[in-house]
Parts: sequence; C-alpha cells; structure tokens
Amino acid sequence: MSDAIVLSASDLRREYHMGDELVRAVRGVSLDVIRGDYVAIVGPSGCGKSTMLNLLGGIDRPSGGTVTINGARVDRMRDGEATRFRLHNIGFVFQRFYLMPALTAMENVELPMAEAKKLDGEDRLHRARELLAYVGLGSRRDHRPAQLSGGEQQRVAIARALANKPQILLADEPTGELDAKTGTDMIELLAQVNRDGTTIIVVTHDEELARAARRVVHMRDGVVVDDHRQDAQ
Amino acid sequence: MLLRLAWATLSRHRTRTLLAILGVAVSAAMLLDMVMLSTGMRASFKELLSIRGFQLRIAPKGTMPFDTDATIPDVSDVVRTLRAMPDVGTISPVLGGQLHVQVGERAVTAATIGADPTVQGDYEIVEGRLPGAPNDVVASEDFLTATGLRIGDTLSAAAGYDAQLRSFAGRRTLTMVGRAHFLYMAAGQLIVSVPLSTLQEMQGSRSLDRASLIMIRARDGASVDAVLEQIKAALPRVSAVSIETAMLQVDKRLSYFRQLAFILGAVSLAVGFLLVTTLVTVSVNERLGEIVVMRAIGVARQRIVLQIVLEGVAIMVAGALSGLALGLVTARYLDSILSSFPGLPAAMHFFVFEARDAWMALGLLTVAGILAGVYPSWRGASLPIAVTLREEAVA
Repeated sequence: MSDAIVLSASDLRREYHMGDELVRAVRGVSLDVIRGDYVAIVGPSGCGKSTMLNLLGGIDRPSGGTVTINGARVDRMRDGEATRFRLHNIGFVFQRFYLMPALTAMENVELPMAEAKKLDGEDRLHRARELLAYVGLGSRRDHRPAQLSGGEQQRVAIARALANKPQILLADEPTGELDAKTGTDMIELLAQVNRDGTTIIVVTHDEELARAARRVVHMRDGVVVDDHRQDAQ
Repeated sequence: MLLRLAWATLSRHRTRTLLAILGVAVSAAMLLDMVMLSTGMRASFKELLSIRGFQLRIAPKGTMPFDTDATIPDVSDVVRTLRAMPDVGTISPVLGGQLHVQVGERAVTAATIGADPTVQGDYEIVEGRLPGAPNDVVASEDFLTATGLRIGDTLSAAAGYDAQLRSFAGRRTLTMVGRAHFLYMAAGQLIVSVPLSTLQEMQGSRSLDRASLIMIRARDGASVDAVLEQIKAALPRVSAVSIETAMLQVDKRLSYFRQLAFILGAVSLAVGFLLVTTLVTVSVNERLGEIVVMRAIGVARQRIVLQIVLEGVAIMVAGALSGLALGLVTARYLDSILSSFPGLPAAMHFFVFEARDAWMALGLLTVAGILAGVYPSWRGASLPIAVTLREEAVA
C-alpha cells in the first residue's frame, strides 16, 4: 500500500432545512484516505455517516469545506463534470443494490462501461463476464435482478461498481439487507476487492464489516469522535 | 444500451405498455382519419373533375355546373364561338333531364344525360357500344336491373313532362346499346344517356338548342388559364370555370369540414400526448431510486433524459404504426357510409389515403411522443441524488 493520499476532506460541512429546522448533518469533518486503504465509517443512525459518504462521492454538495480526490476538487465540480468524474473514478455500492431491474446481470455491469465508452462492445462483454466471474456469478449473468438473491444482487452491484476500474469504492451499508451468512460472504468479497488494490470507504452498522476494515472512523452528531487503525480481520 | 434499457423498461410492465400503445393507436387512427378527411374530399373531387381530361366547364351565368336546372341558351352559337378559339380542343355540350320509361305496368324515371357520345366525359362503356344513332341509349347497371332491360332491347321513353298539360313533350322508342359506368352518378342512381340532340328534341321547346353544361378540353400545350380568359372575354353571358377555380369554390364550401377535421385531429393528438405523458410520468415516479443511482454511477443527465424521451417516443411510434392500420380500416368504413349520401357521386371519397397523410400523422405523433417525454425526463434528470436516495431509504 502506497501512502499517497487519494481522498482528502477538509472541514466538511453539510446543512439543510427540514421544515423550519436547520439540520447540521456533517459539522466540520476532515479526513485523509491513503491509496489502497479500507476505511469503515461507523456510528449511530443519524450521525451523518451516509451524508458524509455522499459528500465524499460527489453526489451531494457540501455547505462548506472541500473534498479532493486525486487532486481534483470534487466539491467545486459542476453537475456534468461531477457525473463524469464519478463514472471514471468512483464506484458506488448501495444498501438496496439498486440494479436496473429490466436488465440482466451482464447488462447491469455493462451499463457504466457503455457510458464511459472506453471499451467497444466485445471488450465490454468480456470485462463484464470477467467481473461477474470475479464476484462469483459467472453462471448467473443472464439472470435479471428479480431472479437473483439479495447477496447475488449485491455481488452484481459490486461488479458494476468495479466496471470502470475506479480507484475508490464507496459502499453505504452494503450488508444492511443481507442475512448473516451472505453478509459474511460480502465482507470477504469487499476485502478481496481491497486486496486487489481498490480503496474502499464503507459506511456501516455492521460490526463484523467494520472489523474487516483497516481504519475505523467513528462519527456522532456530524463530527468524527474517533479515528483509529486496526488489524483487519 | 440506452435503447435496450428503454425497451427493457417498457417490457417490464407489458400489459400497461400494451394498453398505452392501444390508446395511442386509437388516437393515431383518429388523427390519420382527420388528416385524410381534411384533404381527401378535395383530392377526390379534383380527381373526379380531371378524370376524362376536361379542364374547363361552362355553365349558365352565375351558376356552377349542374348547381341548378338553368340551361345555356343558343348553345350552338356558344359552341361556334368556342370552335373559333385556336387553343380550344374538344367541346362537349351536355344537357341534363329525365326520361320516363314504361316497363310493363309501371313507369321508371331515370336521370338522363344528353351528350355527344364521341366526345362526352360523363360515362365509360362497360358492355356494348356507344350510341351511334339518334335513338340509341346506354344505361347504368342499376337502371338495367330496375327495368329488366338488356342490351339490344327496345324501350318506350318519354321526356319533357308538362305538369299542367299532364303530357310529355316527346316520346321515342329507343334501343339499348350499352351498359355504362357513369362517373358522376350517385350510388344506386338510375341513369341513362342519349345523344344530345335526341334529348333536346324529346324535352321540347324549352330545351331546344340548350345545354346544362359545356365541357372543354384545351389543346395540348395550351395554357388552360389563357383559354379560360379567352372564353370569359368572348362569352360574357356564361360562367366559365377551370378545375382550379372550381376547386377554389370547393375549398370554400368544404372549409367547415377541414375545420372540424383539424379540431378533432388536434384533440386526438392531445389525448395521445396526455396518455403517454401520464404513463411515462408514472413509470418515472416508480423508479426514482433507479434513476438517481444511474446518475450516481456516472450516467449523464442528458442520457437519462434521452432514455425517458425514448420510452415516450417508442410508445407513440408503436401506437402510431398500429393506429395507421386501424385508421385505414375505419376510414374505409366511414367512407362507405359518407359516400352513400344521396346525390353524391359514388366515385366521390371523403377519406383518401395519401402517403404524405400517413407521414404527417406519424410525424405529429413522434413529435408528441418527444414532448410527452419532456416533463417526466426533466423530473427524472433533475432529482437531487442524495436527497432522493435518503427518501427512498425512508420509504
């Protein structure tokens, strides 16, 4: 693992109105993530960890502070620029998988590649097959999400997130909808992805998943209350 | 990939999509019918006038051909004047009237055309031959059926009935020489044709040297408009119209038809538009999570707009194509009803299919499909990603 900082957040703040009430979801968080690291952001519900992840991934705009990924100021990017940046640099995995139900597993994995237009049709299919085999779904590639179990859908989502070889993978409660056994398999898959070189930042309530990370960031009430390294299990 | 995704999204709710396509098809059929109606009657009328190549018609002053019972007096003088014009080719004076034919105990009355058989533009011989002698007559199929007469039979006919004297001006024994298809006759109408001089004589003094109408063909290469102007200048006591000027009159008389067709066509288009907008909006609302995740993973906003618009267009185009077939079937049915109106030439059509009508209907529906996708696509593409994901998670 090189010590180069791949992601840096400085004094990150996010405030929004909920009715008349001003909610301060993230209140001045600073965070540097080194290349190849595996970071788990943990904390109670409503502590701002998902908001933090959204800000780091450029799908939400901070009220203040900066987010820099590979030297690019994500917080300053216009919508189109941020979308393009996410396509090439960030993979997303969501708690509810959010696969396109009308597409097969293969087509779901192809989707970001088709958008990026780096590979032609044949190469795209080849990589999609590879990725599905990598996540253990080589035989299920023509199935639609409704024909797959929760764990299988989350594997497809991970394959989709890795499609354009992102440097960072952001996962929001990736085991939240899975049973214990499937969750354990998912934790192992994420660890494998990280061992293969992808930087991972995961938001979770799942202690087992947090134990798999090298670094654990505890948040409470929108601030970081603890940030420590651990031996990943 | 976008096409595949749009198609797959529509296929996901097959019944709903099929019902929407069916709705659009009905709307498209209506639109096509209205476009056909707005242009068809005019096109059909023009074709009818042009069918035998007569470009000009002369009618009694202030009337349109066969608009009234009025006739042109001293028609031989008019014909002489016309023959003196170098650009006038064929001249066919026509007299309208009625023949009363005694068939056993009953009398059958038939509309009658008196015309020079060699240059007339009113009928085509289907069987037999043109009248060659003064007492020859040709008749429509319906007349032959109604009277039981056949080619070669003779018939006793009378014309020029005077209601006060209760007598006919002329009686003749005519020989049936042919069965003819009359171009301007109404469906089921009993009609015969005899030579012009025969009808003039049979109808008595009131028809001598008179014609209801004179049909004229200009010589090849001559300007019809120039001939028209010459006739107007030389014969101020008659009304001369070319097909084009007749069409202007027709346009005025049919303007309400076109307005009606335009309004009903616009309503059909609006219904189709609202149907597709509603369907696509519902579809977008059902997959807000999917849409924002597409944006999160890097799919550009304009691609999402395009995909949603494609869904609307796909429904519209599928509906339009089905609707075109449906429209042709309904147009044929409606045309058969309208064409059987009493007094209208059977060859007259209200709905005439022209490829450009189909293209116009398809084009309008495609544009409506694009517009139908604008609101839902704008809504889908402008969703804030983080907020929507949070709301989806809560939901």
